[in-house]
Amino acid sequence: MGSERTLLALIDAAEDGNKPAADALFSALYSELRRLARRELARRGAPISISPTTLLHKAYIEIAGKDGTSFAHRYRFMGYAARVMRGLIIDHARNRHAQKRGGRFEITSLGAEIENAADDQKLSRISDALDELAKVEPALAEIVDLKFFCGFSFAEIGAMRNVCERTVQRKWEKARIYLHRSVRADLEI
Amino acid sequence: MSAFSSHRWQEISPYLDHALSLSDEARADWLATFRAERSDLADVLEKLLEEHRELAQEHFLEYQPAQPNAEPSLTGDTLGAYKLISHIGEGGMGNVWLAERIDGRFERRVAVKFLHLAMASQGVAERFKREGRILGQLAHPHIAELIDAGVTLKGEPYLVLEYVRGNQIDEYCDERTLGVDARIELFLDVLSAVAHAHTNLVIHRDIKPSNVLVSSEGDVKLLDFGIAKLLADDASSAAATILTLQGGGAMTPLFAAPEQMTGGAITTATDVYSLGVLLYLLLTGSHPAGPGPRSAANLVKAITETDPPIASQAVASWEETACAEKRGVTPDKLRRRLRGDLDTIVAKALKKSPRERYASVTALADDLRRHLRDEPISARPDTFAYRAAKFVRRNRTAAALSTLALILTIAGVTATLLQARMVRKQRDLAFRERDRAHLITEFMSGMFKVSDPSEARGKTITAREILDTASKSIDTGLAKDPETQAQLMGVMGNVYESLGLYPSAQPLLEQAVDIQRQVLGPKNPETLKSMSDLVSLLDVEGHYAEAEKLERETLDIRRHVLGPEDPESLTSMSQLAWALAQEGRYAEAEKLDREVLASQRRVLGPEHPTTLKTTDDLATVLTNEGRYSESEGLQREVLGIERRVLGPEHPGTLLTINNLTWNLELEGRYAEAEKFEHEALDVERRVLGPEHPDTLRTNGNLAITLSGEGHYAEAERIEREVLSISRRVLGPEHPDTARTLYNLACLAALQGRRDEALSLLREAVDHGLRPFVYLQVEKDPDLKSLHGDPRFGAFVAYAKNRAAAGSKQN
Repeated sequence: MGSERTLLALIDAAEDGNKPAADALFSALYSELRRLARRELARRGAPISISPTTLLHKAYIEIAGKDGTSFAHRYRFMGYAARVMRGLIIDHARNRHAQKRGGRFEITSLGAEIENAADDQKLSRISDALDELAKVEPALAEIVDLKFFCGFSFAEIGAMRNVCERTVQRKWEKARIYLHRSVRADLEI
Repeated sequence: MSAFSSHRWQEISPYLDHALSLSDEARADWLATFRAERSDLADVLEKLLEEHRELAQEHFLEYQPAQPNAEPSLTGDTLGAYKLISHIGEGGMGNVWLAERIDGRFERRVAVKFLHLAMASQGVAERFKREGRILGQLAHPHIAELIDAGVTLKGEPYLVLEYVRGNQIDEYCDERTLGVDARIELFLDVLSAVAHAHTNLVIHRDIKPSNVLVSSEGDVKLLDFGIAKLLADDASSAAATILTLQGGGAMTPLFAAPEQMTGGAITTATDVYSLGVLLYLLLTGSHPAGPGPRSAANLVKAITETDPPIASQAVASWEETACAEKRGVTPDKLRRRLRGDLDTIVAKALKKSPRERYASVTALADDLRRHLRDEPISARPDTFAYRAAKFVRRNRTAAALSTLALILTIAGVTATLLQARMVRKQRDLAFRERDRAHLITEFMSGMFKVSDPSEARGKTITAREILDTASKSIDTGLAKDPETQAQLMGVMGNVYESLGLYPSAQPLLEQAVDIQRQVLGPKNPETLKSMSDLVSLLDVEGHYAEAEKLERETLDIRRHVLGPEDPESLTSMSQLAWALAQEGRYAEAEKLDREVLASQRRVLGPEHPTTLKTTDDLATVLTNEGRYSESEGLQREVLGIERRVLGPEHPGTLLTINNLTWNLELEGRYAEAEKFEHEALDVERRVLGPEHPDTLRTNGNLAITLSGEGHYAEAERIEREVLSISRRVLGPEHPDTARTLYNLACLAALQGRRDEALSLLREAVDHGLRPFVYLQVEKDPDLKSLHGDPRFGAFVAYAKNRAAAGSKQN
């Protein structure tokens, strides 16, 4: 209970621009998400993957508890957690890349086919570009975190922000142009 | 150009936003125009948009990267006769794997779905397998076949399903910009599948877009039939099941029926409701509960208590242009397309009470097919008056519930209005909407405070009290945002009007018009809409001269902005004609009505409710001109069509009956009139309640008929009853209340009670009797017994003076 309360308080503080709180929030969420992922996998009979979306929902339920928290609150949470999830995925990609070299290791992915080492590198660059974008238009960066890294649909993101699906999609398309520019510039060295 | 500097990006970003919101064609046009202004930026934008097209083709960033928690997969594992090939998805209920048979009996690939549920005991597992096999017998071209059900050695239940490749039905429709007809056709396939399952006594229980897939060839497949039940039997209550079943936990049951939320009986009507939500979504692009964000508690409330906005209104609440584009039409066309039949059909499927919904999926399908063939549908529309009457009735039995529903309705309408505005104010949306939402929330919670037990201990709160409190605080409460303030005032004014509380409605509507004229300008559609609302109110209040003046302004603007034959312009014209008729200017009214009618017959068709209403208005004018048989001919014609098209309970049908009986009475055909009046009264008492202004009107007319037949005592009894209700419901100054006084005066005169008759006449004139009634007082045969009485002569002079003074005032 105590640590759960703290997480919510951290979100509040981070929103007020408290930098140490934001850092603390990041690492708290990071370990919370990892813990949950491990636990979920252990809990199931079969070793199957769990989607980031599911993981975030579970994390939210655990942290916010059953009572009284609003969807507006949930949206704020998802915004932060999505950024953390990105970190988790990037780390995993690096890690996986290392493991792959070592031997046989199967990966399952949801949509498809980002499967090679170059992609892992690209993922890191996208992440860096996203951090840049977040400085200029944080809302755009958040949409990419939610959509690309966490697998929320445009409709779900729209519902979180009280805008229509099409608006989210447009913002995302815009962000994509930005990211592609950044990533390509990097790649063209 | 490579990565953006933040300065560069900030410069480009808004233009990019705009360009991306346009269709390809419009984008090229816009870019050409823009180039004239900023050729430097236009070049950059063009390049970026080209890049956008390429990125879309590449599906850049469209697929999620590999998951962080991927463990050694099941690939290659076998499960009974199936070998797992690859993980293809994770739904609310569990993981899905692509698999194929290994015993070589079939070539076909299947989907294996693992359910997030541990089977507690061997018995449960057995039952799961047994029921799975029953479901497996559902064979229908639009139902994804359930091939097998089992439990792994580790106790994890799984289903083997027909492998379906396809898109969710809503995404499929949007991607192909299917029009409304094509969407309905596709939806009919869904209905045929559900109907088939129902005849086999299987209820789906979880119909939602992600369970309805459409292949690229356009084949519909329903997934997960009866699976909710398979799992539900294990849980303690229906509501708990739905809530836990949905997704990785926190998903709220957007497609659940009210009875699923409240733990009521799950029947085929439950599927009818979910199908209604799906249809609403396909047609309007939005969910009946409106867009998020919402708390789970609010969603439950929305599902169980709030009537959703009718479908055609919901179009406005989305980003209407994008939504309409996906259906290949303009927003206006889409709204018009949905208005009427489709509104009615969707509303009937979405009734809170299962009994009020379509009796079967087939009945819903039949109505949709009738609609596609342009035949009259079986469902009857809810009019706003009907809904409002329901509020009033419910008020008496369960005040709290009704109050909440009313407030939620207001809140819902507000949300709709806000959404509509978002379209226009895309740019500064992010901050302003948040502020606005905050303001509204604050204001609404202020409204709710009244129902706080500490503020109203032991007292029953009525909808009216809530409105009264809110209307007092709206001046100050929302002063910071006049646009929202005006909209809320308009909404509240209309609610007051529909409750028959005209004196409270007027200042709100007037203020709304004033504010909107200032803030939005006099030509803004919302300003015009508020002006029209005010005119309707002035008409029912009997302030015809004011109504006429305002309506002429509205009409001028609409003709100018929309053109003379636009339905809105025509509505303005017929409202004007009505006001003129009420002032006794029949020839002008008749001419206008005939003009409107000719246009409406051409533009809307002869059987359109609006055309019928105008015909009815014209007939009433003819009655007033003494052209009874001409009027009767029109009225009977209209009535025949209305009974067929609108149904016997529709207010339009009842109004025609009312006008026809009046016409009959004036011809002295009392028996015929009485028969019609009893028929209308039966319906109105049942549908509107005994105190609704329309019910009172018919009651009063029945009394006149009875009086014409010489049944004075009975007539008087009815009129006195009507009078006491009118004073309370309409107010002592309402023209209809005054008319009842006048009718009582006539009855007194007819029975030789002259003193009483004279004092009642005076009272009627002093309390708002319509001039056209008292100016003809000398010609009224019912008052014959007063002729020759000097006091009657004095009264006539008094009345004429008053009328003259009144018209000078205007």
